[in-house]
Amino acid sequence: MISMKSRFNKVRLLFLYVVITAVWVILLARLGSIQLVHGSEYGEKARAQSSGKTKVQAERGIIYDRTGREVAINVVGSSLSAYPRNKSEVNKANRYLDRINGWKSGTSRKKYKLEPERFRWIKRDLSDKLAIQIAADSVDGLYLRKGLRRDYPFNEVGRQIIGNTNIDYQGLSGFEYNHDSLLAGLPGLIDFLRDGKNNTYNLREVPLVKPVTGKSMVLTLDWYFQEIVEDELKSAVKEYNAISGTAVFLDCFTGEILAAADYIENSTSGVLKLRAVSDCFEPGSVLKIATMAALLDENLVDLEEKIYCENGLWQCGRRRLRDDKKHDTLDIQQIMELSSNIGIGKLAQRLGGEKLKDVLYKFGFGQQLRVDLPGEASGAIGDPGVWSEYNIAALAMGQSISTTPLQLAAAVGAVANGGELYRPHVIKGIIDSDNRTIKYMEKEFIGRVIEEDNAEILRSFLTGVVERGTATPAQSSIISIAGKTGTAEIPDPENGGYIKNKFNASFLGYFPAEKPRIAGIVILHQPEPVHYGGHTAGPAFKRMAERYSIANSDLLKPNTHLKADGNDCEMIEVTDFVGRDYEFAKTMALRDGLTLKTNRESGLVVWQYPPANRKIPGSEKIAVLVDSNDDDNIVMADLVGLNMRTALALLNYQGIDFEFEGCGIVKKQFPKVGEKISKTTKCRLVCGNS
Amino acid sequence: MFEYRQLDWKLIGAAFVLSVIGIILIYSAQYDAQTGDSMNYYYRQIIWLAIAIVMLLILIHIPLRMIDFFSYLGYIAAFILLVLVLIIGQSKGGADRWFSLGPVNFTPSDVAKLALMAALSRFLAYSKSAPESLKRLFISGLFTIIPVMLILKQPDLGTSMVFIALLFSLWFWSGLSPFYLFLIVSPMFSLLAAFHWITWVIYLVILITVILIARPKMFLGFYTIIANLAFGIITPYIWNSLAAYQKLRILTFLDPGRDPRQAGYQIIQSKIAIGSGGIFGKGFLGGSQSQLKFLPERHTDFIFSVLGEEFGFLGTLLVVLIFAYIIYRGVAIAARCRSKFASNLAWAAVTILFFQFFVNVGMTFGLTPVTGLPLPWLSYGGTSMILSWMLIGFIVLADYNWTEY
Repeated sequence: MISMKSRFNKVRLLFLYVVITAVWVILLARLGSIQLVHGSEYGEKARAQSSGKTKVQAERGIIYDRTGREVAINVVGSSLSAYPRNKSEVNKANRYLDRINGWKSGTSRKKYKLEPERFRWIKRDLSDKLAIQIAADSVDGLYLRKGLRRDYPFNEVGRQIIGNTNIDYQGLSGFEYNHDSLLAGLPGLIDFLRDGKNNTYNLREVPLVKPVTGKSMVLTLDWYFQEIVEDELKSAVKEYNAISGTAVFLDCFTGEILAAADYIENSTSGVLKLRAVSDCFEPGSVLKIATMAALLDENLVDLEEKIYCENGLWQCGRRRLRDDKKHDTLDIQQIMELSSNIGIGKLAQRLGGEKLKDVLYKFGFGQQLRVDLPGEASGAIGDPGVWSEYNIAALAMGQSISTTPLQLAAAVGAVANGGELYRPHVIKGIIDSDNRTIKYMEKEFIGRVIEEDNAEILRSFLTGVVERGTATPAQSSIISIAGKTGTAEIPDPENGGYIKNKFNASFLGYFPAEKPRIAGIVILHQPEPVHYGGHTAGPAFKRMAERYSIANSDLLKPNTHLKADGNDCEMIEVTDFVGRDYEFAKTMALRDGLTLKTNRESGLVVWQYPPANRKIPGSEKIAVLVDSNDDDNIVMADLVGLNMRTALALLNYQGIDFEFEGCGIVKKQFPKVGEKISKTTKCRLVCGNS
Repeated sequence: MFEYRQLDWKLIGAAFVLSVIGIILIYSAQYDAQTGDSMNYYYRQIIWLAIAIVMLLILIHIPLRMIDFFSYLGYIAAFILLVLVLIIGQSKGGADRWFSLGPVNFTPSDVAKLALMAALSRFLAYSKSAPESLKRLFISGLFTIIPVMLILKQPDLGTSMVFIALLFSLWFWSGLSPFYLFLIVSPMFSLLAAFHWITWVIYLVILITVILIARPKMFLGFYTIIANLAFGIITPYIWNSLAAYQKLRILTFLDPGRDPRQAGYQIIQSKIAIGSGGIFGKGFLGGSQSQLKFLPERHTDFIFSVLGEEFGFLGTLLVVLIFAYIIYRGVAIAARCRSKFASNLAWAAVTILFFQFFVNVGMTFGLTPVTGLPLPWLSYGGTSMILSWMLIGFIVLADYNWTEY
């Protein structure tokens, strides 16, 4: 068409080209500006929103007890947080939270007050089931974060020592706090990518900086024993109406602390302080052990001599010293067994104040033992300036001196092992995450506190205390205990002097008496109305020792055979039956002239009493337990004819509650042999001498 | 005898290069770094490209006169489809509607583009009235308004805008002066100016002065003044009677940047993607914005952002220049056609390509609003691909037959 070629159309075409070209220029200018001029800025923005670095938690070291039980471990926990990007995500998150919690709608909105682009924790440490559910639902705006958290398989047992961690996995108290730098390890660093949906991806398998797992610690404590001690201490405090109690046990030959517990009745804040280490008190008569050790070592006493005990009231300088019971004359052993203040007071005069003080220092009193536990107190030995008769006597019987329970336990442990004082400690070793030993704590010898032969004499005194003296309630039928009671007056910090009619009752001792292994102390603060150590702390000590020994049958005392006719029986060494088939064990017993009593006639023997290699009279019967593989179906064992102690050890091992009449040999048993019983059944045994 | 050598192979080649670039970008946009695989979008796009080329080959064998002859019939068919899609069509939250034909989704609004193109080209080519005559403007306007209303009902603003642009562009191409075009559009300016009475009064005074001086046709002068007054007076009343959320909805519709969490987020991410590409880009599959899914709609509407991020300024420059070649060449072809129908048809094709290119590319860095118009040849989508090749086919066809009357 001609009009297209006209001048008018040429102008029109030109106009068109100008417009189109202008558009192109604008586009290219904008592109150039964004990509060439501001390219690096936008590049930075892209990097900033898509990548980042974050710390990775290092795994905390594990805490083991002496037998390898894990007492502080790590578990992976999930936490839920909210970071909604806009209003609709806020609504979605609220609706979802209402639904999973079973709330009526609107509750979550009021409770969490979520807002766009605002971070908020919803719940930390979700249950696994809930975490899996939430992960599967993957609601916009809600994020699951996995993190490590500390778990204590024995719950509160031993927590006074190991302490706890806070919600951010850092040590807060106890060992977790004091050894945080060791346990915590070093956090690592990872670089990650974040996508437009706020998912993150690790950029590489291996983190930029690898986290270093914390070191693990092996403690000297035995959590089984710890549990017993805590349990018995609590019931003792309740039974004897005390306000609180403390107990600590250690290995005589190494100073390794096996259990340490504290219990405060009506405590508002849970006890997280270990008063066996951190608190001092006046020990009272239990300290007479140290005084007597000094007297023996200095050869100042003759075991045959008799001391006049003034019939219970001694005018000692200007003051008076009393005994609980009036005694006329007592020999040295009786002074210990009956805990005569006057007797020990008189004897101590031979030592003199300075000498006595020196010996007490040697025993570890009045100074820190440098235990590897926080907040150790040193205690103090009073220095009256002028050593009057009374001052010496008071110190000798454990007043005007303050000690920690641990110092006393360590001291009696030294007497028990033959005179060597070892530094008490709770860390056995430190291992890394590959179970390589980094540090092993050797036992540390501090010094000799008493000569070996004198220690033996002193031990016989302490055995007598339990057998005949002030601590007869601590006598046990299954283990032999030795020790010393204490009934100490409590200093009055406000008025000076002592609080009237308030006492700390204690029992300091060790077991088994004939071959000491474990030393310890139980203290009950202000028991009422019975306040004697022998009648309160003593039985508590006994129960702790008994329960521990039952699981460690080599601690149980050999059955003293009855010499009814006055003739010694033939002694036979016990064969090791554990691990044998019952049929075979029976043949072995027949060969060795032993008689077996059991719960069932076939299967593997898993337990026996008396233990192997112990010499017993030929008339005594052996109890063995055969594995049933069926915890719910316990069959009553044949107990008739067994020594009572053997029968009790067996029932204890099976965890069966029992009561008994008389003592000696089991005559009758209820329920009968072979009857099915459960853990709740109560057995009754009738015993008597044949 | 059909002379293949006479075809404009350079133009076809340019479209092919763009299609291949598009497939590469789609592969990258849907690449999953974790599985090391791209979703099968790119594969489908290759098939669409093959289908589109086959359709082009068929198209160029059709005589122009036949297209001319069937254009009104096509228009009626498209109208029926647009009505049908409103009744039985499917939609997925978005703005457009389609028929679901097995694995293929068929969008009738794209067919309507071709139909309207042909119908308007025919009408404006054969109408005897002057370019600015009421009859001519009214009928061609009616041609356009019918599909626009139907598409707005879907509601697809982007495509409606293409239709309007097509009408104005063809009015201009067939002789309407830019001044008249301005007068026709002027009520829109009144709409904007009316938000403050002072600006509106000033605008109105200038407008009336211009009309008095230039003295356009009587009906156009009246139309301009009445329409401007009506828009200016009614708008504030309607606006003030709206609830706050309704106002916000309208404002967001006009300016998506007002809502930084939705549409605004897309533009911000797209700008970061393009900008961070720099001169040379981050390389194929190397764009963090697209690979980490910061970019929304990255294989369809925002494919240009993927290009900018992974191939940098050099990549965007190449694509923009290829488009420039196609547009300039298209204009030249439209201008030299002897047949008015062929000329209109080629010009209409150029308009659609140019408009969609500008709106889409401008959108990726915030120059134009987010409307959901695909980038011809590059964006993923079968109908878009076929439409783009049909458009280039019309241009090539017009060029092949340029001597025809």
